[in-house]
Amino acid sequence: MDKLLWVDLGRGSTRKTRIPEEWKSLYLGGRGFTSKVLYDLVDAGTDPLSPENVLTIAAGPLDGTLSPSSGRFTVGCRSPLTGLLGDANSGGHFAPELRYAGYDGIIIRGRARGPVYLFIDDDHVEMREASHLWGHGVFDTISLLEHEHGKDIKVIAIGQAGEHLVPYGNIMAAGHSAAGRTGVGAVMGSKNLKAIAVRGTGDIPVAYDEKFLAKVRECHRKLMADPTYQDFSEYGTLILVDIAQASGGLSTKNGQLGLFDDYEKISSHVYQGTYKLASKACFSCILHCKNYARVAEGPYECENMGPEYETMVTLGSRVGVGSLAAILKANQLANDYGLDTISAGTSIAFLMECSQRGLIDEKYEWGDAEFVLDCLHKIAHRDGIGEFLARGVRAMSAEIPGSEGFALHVKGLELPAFDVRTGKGFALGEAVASRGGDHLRALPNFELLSKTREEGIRWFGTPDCVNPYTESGKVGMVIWHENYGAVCDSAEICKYCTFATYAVMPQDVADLLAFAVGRPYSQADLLATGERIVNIERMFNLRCGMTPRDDSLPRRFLQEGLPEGPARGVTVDLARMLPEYYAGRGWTKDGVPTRGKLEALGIEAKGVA
Amino acid sequence: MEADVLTAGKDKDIRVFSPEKCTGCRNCELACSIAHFGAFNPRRARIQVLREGCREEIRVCNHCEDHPCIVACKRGALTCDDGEIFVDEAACNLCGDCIAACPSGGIRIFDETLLICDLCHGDPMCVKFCTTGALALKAR
Repeated sequence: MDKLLWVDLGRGSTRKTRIPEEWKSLYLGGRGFTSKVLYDLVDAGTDPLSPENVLTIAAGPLDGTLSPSSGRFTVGCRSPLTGLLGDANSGGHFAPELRYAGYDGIIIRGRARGPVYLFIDDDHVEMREASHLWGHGVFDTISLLEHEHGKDIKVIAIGQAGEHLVPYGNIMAAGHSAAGRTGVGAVMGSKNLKAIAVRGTGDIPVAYDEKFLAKVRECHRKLMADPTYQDFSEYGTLILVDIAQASGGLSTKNGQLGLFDDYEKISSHVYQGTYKLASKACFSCILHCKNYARVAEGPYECENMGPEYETMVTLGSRVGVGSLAAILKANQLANDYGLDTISAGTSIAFLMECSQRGLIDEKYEWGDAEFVLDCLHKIAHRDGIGEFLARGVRAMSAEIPGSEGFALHVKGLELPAFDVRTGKGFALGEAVASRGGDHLRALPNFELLSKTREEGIRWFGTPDCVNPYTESGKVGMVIWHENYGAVCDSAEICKYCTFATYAVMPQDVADLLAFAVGRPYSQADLLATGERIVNIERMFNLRCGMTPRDDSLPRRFLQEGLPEGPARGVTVDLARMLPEYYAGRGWTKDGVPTRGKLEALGIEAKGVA
Repeated sequence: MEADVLTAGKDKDIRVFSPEKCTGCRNCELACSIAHFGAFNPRRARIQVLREGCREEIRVCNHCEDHPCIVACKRGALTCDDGEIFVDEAACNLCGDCIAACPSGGIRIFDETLLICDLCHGDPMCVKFCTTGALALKAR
């Protein structure tokens, strides 16, 4: 471990270096590394799909150990979808294997002359011809590579979507875990890189075995005692479908509604009782929130992991589809094609609403499952209507006058499942997130989990933070979640074990790191690291042309109240929260990090006017 | 579903595996490798979890009553004491006869070391770190 692998696909060369000490001490690993790499190596003129763009992958310092839910990795690049920070995070078993092979990170530049894949076999690294893989979906690609190199390799790969440079093509780990967002798969495709296969047989020692294992046990105990643990371990993220419907925020028909008539057909309990076969886990995870399901017969016959809540909504209620079997099939197809389900589903939903409102001539009906499945194929191959859908909501909307208000994106990234009118902390988080319309940068679940007013005061100094429908009291809570979230993404611990459950807290992560790495970490150091990462990403985006005006939400959420349900009539007053957020971050009133703030965090200001 | 009995140490509790409870997190492999080698490395683990579709299988010593591995070893490198198999590393030449004889695929060689479960002398780490109960100790 500890090595950085540099790959130049144009020259066909690789080299290995040590990870710079400064990166480890200031940026931890994972997302901290990838964002630091982009900040240092990618300038404002870099075309995302050009050989000059950097594709970087990083594991975290706890990957490969028994640390709870710590088998994740981050992929970074300049995003072809947003033009800003591209970033996607995935679980599975790839990152631990990468560390067993000796690497904490990979930096890929250039473009191969023809299709290649990267094969990492401990010290041995080679670029291998991949014409026989090109054109195949993710599942076949992995099977072919396993056939060639043995079942014990771990693979990440793009599908047809990445090959066709669909700006929301993703990178799949093992066919069911997605580094899903911001089009990292298109960047990989633009480099003619089909897959990375790794076999690692080395050891990962920790500094203090006994203390480390005792801490792991303590974290396991805390996790299993948390009330959210039961729901997630039983139903996975699908429990959120039920929570969303109950709060009136189950995004339906492109967010026109927050209650879905066919909710009963896609609820977690129905899934559990019909198609689910087993609960599965990512590496070293005791939460095991992944579901494995099979549709045994009929037109939607399929078998795969998932879907997650995001997919159940964006390829379900958001497009009006209430057939559970069809959603499972859509999930499987998207995983095989390597398509981000959030962006794909939301693009289809947008088209359907344009049709509903007569803004386009074609007629598309809500709930037409066959059409949705057909679209996924066409998007991945840029065929027919797929060519238009593959551009994403922002670019589509630019060609359809009168559609901006319901184009569900922020900074070009399609918005996730949760309707932010029913969670104002989420609304703020998604408006300012460094990768555009994304819920996982902040993920302030605290406001959704029926916490008491007393808990609100104890955690964030205000009782209002536990009421999802109010704007007041949200800023401090969101900033804490963003900072700690950046730490989790950099240590590569899953946020569902740190703050869907609120079991594994910053001091726990500090202890795990200290006992693993052998030097002290404090809670305060870690949260400062999180703040540093949030700031360097902000600076990268400003360099790439983002303006604070882009910290916004679709007009639908700002001005249109939901017509029914518990959130009836509620809209988001973002203007009330933003100035407080900028001030809380120590940024100017225009949302720009001050020189003093950057100096305090050890960030060198470069490339920003 | 009835649990498969995998391990039957003579005077010890037995380890049972319930595949339907296994999520494939591989914490057992990690716990095994750190306990025996002081480092995390699933390839050093004496227990292996293999996923096929949504079903996990494990490969680990079954602690059979008749010890075909010991019978197969021509060099007397394997001995049994109180249900645990011990490897005399000086006598073992890694010929693999015991691996061929093992009915449960529970013996492997990695890094010139023969890997057989020793039940951690009665307190198996794999069981300790299995939170779903897929691996459990049971009174005989």
